[in-house]
Amino acid sequence: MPNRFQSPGDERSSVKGRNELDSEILQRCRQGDRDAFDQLFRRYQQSIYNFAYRLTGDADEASDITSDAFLRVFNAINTFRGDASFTTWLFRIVTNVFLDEKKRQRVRAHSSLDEYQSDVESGYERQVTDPSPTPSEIVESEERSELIQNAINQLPEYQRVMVVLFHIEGKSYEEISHIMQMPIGTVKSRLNRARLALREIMEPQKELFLP
Amino acid sequence: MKSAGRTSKTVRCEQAKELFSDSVEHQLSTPLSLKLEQHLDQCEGCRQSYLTFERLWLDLSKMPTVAAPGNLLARVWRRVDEQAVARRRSWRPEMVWRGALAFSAAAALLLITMFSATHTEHAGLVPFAGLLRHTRSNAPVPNVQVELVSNRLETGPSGRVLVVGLRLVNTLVPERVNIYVRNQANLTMPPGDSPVWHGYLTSRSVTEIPLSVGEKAPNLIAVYVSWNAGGRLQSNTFLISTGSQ
Repeated sequence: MPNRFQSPGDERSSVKGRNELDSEILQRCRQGDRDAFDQLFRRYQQSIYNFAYRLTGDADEASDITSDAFLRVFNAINTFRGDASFTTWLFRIVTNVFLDEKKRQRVRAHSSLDEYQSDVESGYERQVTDPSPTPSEIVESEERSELIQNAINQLPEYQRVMVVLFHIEGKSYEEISHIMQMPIGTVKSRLNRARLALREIMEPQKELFLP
Repeated sequence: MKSAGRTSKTVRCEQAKELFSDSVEHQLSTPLSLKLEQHLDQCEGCRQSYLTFERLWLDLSKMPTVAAPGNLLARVWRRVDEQAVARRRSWRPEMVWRGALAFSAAAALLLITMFSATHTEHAGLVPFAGLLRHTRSNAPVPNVQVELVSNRLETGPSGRVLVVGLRLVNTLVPERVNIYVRNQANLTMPPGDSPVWHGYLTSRSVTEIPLSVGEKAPNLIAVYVSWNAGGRLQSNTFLISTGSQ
């Protein structure tokens, strides 16, 4: 099991090199250099799209979120002060775009904000029911991924963001605390709750996850 | 007695579940780790839960990466351009309603300044729509053209500037182009032969491009437009008559 509290030295130096390159590109972006924006977008579009896809489980929604997020980056690049790393800032923007979009969808569906807050706080007690696939739809290797994605889609949005950031994007607790702007302790406890919720949702298919 | 036992077991099960994450990450102290182990030995339900929890953790890290669609970047630039057009549109009424008084007060002063420092005239360019061609084969790029929709010659303190308004035709996708200007005695060329302008053209809006010229506008300007489409350089050269003698 990978230990997220330690990272190898070469990884750290590669991150450092990446940050230096980012800061050079960012400087050019601030001056309105479209080439630099091209480079920035190309560098991050794959990971941002994958993040958005895992949050939504839908290709069209993921494309919308990715392009919305990059548009926000384009508009707000001069406000990025470099207090956090660019990646952290970028993932925070994507997270906000996703949460804003879900909020908009909820308003459209005439749900109240109170219910939304309650969902966020109460964790997996207020699940939106999603029909599970029938056994005949199950195919071994892809099946698990689909089932897991299906289960992720049923988590409340904040838990979904945390699970995807940690388990799929490989972010550390510290990075998530910066992205979500909450203390590490809160991240850990909420993430633990999210994992248990996920396991609970997967309970009907538990035989697929037992050795 | 039975009820008390069940309550006690439920509490212990809940506590055990709280330890699952730390256990998987090897962050439990030895005493807590032993307590969890003992509980899992005695409680079949929690043991199964722990095994599925552990397996789920592993499977999450193996979720495949979903490839981003190829048109994502173009889509972002299209949004940027649409936003710029929308801003321009929303700015005008605001300018009229909110700034009318301030504008008219400043207008006289501004006009005096403009007439003394800058003079604008039509450059007399011949409107054109040139095909973009592949550099090597010289074959036209299907259905994509650059159109000259406006032009003017501005004279100011820094010399003469030829402003050409260009847009793409027959494509919804913005393309990044480089523009070079050639063969003009009075044309100010940037050092190192870098493009005099680079940026995106779209079919949705006209992009006005200022090209610096010398004291006198040359009578013929060669504008070389190039872009990189899918790793291949595409280009075309347009000769523009300014009507000067």
